Amino acid sequence: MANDRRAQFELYKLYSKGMYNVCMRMVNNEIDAEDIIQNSFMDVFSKLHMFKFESSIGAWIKRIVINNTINFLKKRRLQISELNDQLQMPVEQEEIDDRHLEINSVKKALVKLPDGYRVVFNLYAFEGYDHKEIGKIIGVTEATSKSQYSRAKKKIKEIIKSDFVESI
Amino acid sequence: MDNLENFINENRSSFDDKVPNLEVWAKINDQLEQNSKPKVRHLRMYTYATRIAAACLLLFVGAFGSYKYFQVDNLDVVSIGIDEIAPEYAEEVAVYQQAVSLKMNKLANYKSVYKVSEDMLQLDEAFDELLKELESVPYSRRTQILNALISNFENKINVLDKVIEEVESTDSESINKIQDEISL
Repeated sequence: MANDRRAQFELYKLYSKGMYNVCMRMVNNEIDAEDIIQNSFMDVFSKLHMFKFESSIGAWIKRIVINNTINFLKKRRLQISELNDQLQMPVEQEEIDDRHLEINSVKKALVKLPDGYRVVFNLYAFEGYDHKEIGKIIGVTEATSKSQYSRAKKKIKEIIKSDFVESI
Repeated sequence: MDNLENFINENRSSFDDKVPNLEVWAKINDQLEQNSKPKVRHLRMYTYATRIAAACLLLFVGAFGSYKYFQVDNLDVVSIGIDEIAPEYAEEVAVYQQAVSLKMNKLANYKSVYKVSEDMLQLDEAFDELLKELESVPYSRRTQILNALISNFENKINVLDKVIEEVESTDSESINKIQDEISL
């Protein structure tokens, strides 16, 4: 039992920081993120026997954390609805001035995004899921995920630009 | 890939700068401890029941000389709410309960001193404890607890069977004695 607990703590130590940041970027709240991490690691420890080595253990844990985060956001009325054909078209993107790109400016812009945009943007740009996988995770089509991502990216650029102008 | 995506890719690790509060692990640890309790108790229960069975036999053999009347009142079958907590096991539990009750009544006909009542009460306490756990454990652990409940009955029956067997072989006159006392 003591050995089990040590092994569980080692696993927690290895992945908790990364998973906490994944979660924080999506829920924007430390207390909520900590609750999700706590529940997710309890899920990890209780389902460890179900891990089939089809992916890395990190990817498996991340999927549990992301599923729990999406469930949490859905309870908080996260709504990513299917878009009609016209709205599914990716929006035109402008390049952003490299001088405006800083870690903090991107982080601040992410916080200001609506939940739906933030989730899709995070899953694609930060966590490396493709749109097909994102569609499965949040329950929308691949096209909707692509469109949401495109709109989220445009919005982030606008926020960064506007924050930069305000700071001058 | 545009310059925003490139920027994120190149600086990916710098975005992971937050650390969860130490309390998170403390809470997980508490929860793991809590969840592991039924398992520990379950194992203890088996050890405990085996010890009781062994102690029962020793007590009987060792202390057979000093007689006391067997108190049926102390051996009331435990009152349980299994039909509310796990109705699918209610029938099985009722059968066991009846078997225990019959054996206790049979044992009550003998005049032997045997402190089986205390052992039965201890097993009853263990049963009540398991029943409480059954109300709070996650669904996945119910079968484990229910099996422990059934084992509890089996242990009671085993203890009673062994005692009855011993009593019958060495105390064959008891029934006659009791009947004589009643007739007086």
